Amino acid sequence: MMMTSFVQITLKSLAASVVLFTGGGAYAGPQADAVVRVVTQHAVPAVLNFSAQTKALEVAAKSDCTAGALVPAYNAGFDAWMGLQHLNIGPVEADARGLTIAFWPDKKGMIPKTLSSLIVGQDAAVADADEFAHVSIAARGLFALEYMLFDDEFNAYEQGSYSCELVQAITHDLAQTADHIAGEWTREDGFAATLTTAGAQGNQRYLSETEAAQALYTMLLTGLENSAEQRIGRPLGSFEKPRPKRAEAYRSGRSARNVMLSVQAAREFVVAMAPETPTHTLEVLDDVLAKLQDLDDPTFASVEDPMGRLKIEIIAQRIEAATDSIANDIGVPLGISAGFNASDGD
Amino acid sequence: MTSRRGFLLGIAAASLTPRLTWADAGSPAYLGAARDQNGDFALYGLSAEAQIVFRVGLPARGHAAAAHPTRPEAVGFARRPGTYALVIDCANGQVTHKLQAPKGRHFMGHGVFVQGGDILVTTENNYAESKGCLGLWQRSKGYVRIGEVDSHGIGPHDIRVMSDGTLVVANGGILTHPDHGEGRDKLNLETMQPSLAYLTSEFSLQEQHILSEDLHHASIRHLSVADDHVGFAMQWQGDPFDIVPLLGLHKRGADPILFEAPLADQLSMKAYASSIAFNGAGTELAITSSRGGRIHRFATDGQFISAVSRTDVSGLASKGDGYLASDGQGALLSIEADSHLLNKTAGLAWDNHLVSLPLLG
Repeated sequence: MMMTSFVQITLKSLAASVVLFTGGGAYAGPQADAVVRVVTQHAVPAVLNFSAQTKALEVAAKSDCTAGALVPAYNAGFDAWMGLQHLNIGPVEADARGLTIAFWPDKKGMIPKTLSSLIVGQDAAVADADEFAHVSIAARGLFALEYMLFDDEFNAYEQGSYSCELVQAITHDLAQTADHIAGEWTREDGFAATLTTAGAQGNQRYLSETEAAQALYTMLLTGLENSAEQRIGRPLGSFEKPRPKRAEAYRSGRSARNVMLSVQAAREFVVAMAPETPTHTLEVLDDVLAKLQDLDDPTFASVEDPMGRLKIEIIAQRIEAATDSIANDIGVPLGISAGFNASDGD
Repeated sequence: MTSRRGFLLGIAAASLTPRLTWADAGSPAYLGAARDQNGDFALYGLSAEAQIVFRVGLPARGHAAAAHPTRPEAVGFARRPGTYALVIDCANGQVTHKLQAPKGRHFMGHGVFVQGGDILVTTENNYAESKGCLGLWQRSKGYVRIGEVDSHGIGPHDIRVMSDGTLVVANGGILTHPDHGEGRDKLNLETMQPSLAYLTSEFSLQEQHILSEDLHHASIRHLSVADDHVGFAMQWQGDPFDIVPLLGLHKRGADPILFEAPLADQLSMKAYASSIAFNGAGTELAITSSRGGRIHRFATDGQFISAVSRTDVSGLASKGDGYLASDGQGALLSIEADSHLLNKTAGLAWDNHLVSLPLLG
């Protein structure tokens, strides 16, 4: 029901944007075309999918909140997030939703502390969605849920328990957040329209087509860099001191899967942004996906083994090579590059 | 032996000599450097409403500039580890002097005029001795270097003068050497000790503050002064996902106070502050983060006011009750309760900082 209504809104608002976009009389150049393709072929489908999957997770938690029962819906929700997480400006950035959905890395161990304090105190916030939306981001989103479902200290709860209510509150809050993101992307004057009307009068956010193309392009590169530097770099640590317990989502065994899904999302992004992309970029990305498949190490535990470590390092290097390739294959032809100050401050 | 007649003629002649002021350069309220679409760098003068009033070409990318308090002169510094600075006559666009850092030193990108505008003080890395220093240059003698003093810390970066003539220096704490990574490799991250140092108008150390040991990675880089308060902005040299303060406020004689936004907002800054400014009234202050694409506003009591998102935003200066911000996409924005665009020049990428000029009518 939810899904259907969103699709209708989306098609309607996208049609409106495209009309606005071409109706302004301005020549829609290659940058503008690229923006429209990324928005319609990559971003909006990802946003809708995340909303649908988190809604399904909420429904599943209502019928059976126990850890064992909820794992498949949890994984489907997390998979959907990986298709969207790199699009971290606009509705995902607003109200810190990106960090609320995925609070990682949790360097100070705030997630288990905050969850424990809610549970010990039987905090009434779980009974009121508005109140729960003001609970610390450490107790909300996919990583709080991961503790509840996969960590032995939290996951032995039963139907009807406080922890069960907490899990239901987290899934409801997550679905609400996803719903807000989808709404703000797809409504008539939403973020899809903001991007596709860049440079039009009254568009304060993107003052030119170049700005919108550059904003998307920067997210593509940053998404890949995050996978190399954070998702892989954190567990790698140093040769003397590997840090397998710093891998993202290792409790749920999703560390390598998350890198794979982020690279798949980047590949889809590349194809949408530049359908004529020279094959080099796609070859590098496909090589990363094949190497992840061959690695067969869901949690990057093999960073502690010299041979496994080398394989994981090579994957990170290949992801970085993909960003260079994207700069040549997409950035140069479209006349866009990463931020002037962001990449070179002082 | 001067005759009375000759003396009077001399006075008459002196009064006829044009004494140029900032009005002769179009009365700019701000200076900012930018790269244009041809890849050329220039220094721009901006009006109070952010319209360009002059443009002077620069030979390379700069960092910040020091503006003379009365004469239309700006000193543009090369980026670290640059060894030259250019004195630019903003009324006619001519480079009037070139400052060369002495052997074993390079400029750090910031400087300030003191003593009525006769002495230029520049922050420098004395890499020969692994310490920070301040170069002193006398304008009335043709910008000759008249000496140098200790900055009382490694890596002095920004420097400001307070209303009583006291100098305040941000010693960033990071040791660099031009032979290592083009002068940008950080050679002492384990032992770095940033500090805020106050020097009297005679350049002797008056007061110094070092943050607590757990914050020794917080490189104090940029400063803003309002009355007797100094705001300082920091760049974290540890993990960008650490939750650490990036903004501090200090009044001499007291301990610095550190400000943090709520958790998610603070994380969004990527542990990096690019520029800092008080608003015109001195009732609030703000920092930008080019890495986070954000501006964070705080009341002077530490209360977080709001965040503004703007990709690649970096330069910041006071403007009325709010701020003027610049970004890498040619935009100059007014930041108050609402933010709005004042000027957008296609192809311009505004560089790290905006410099406020005193409005002298």
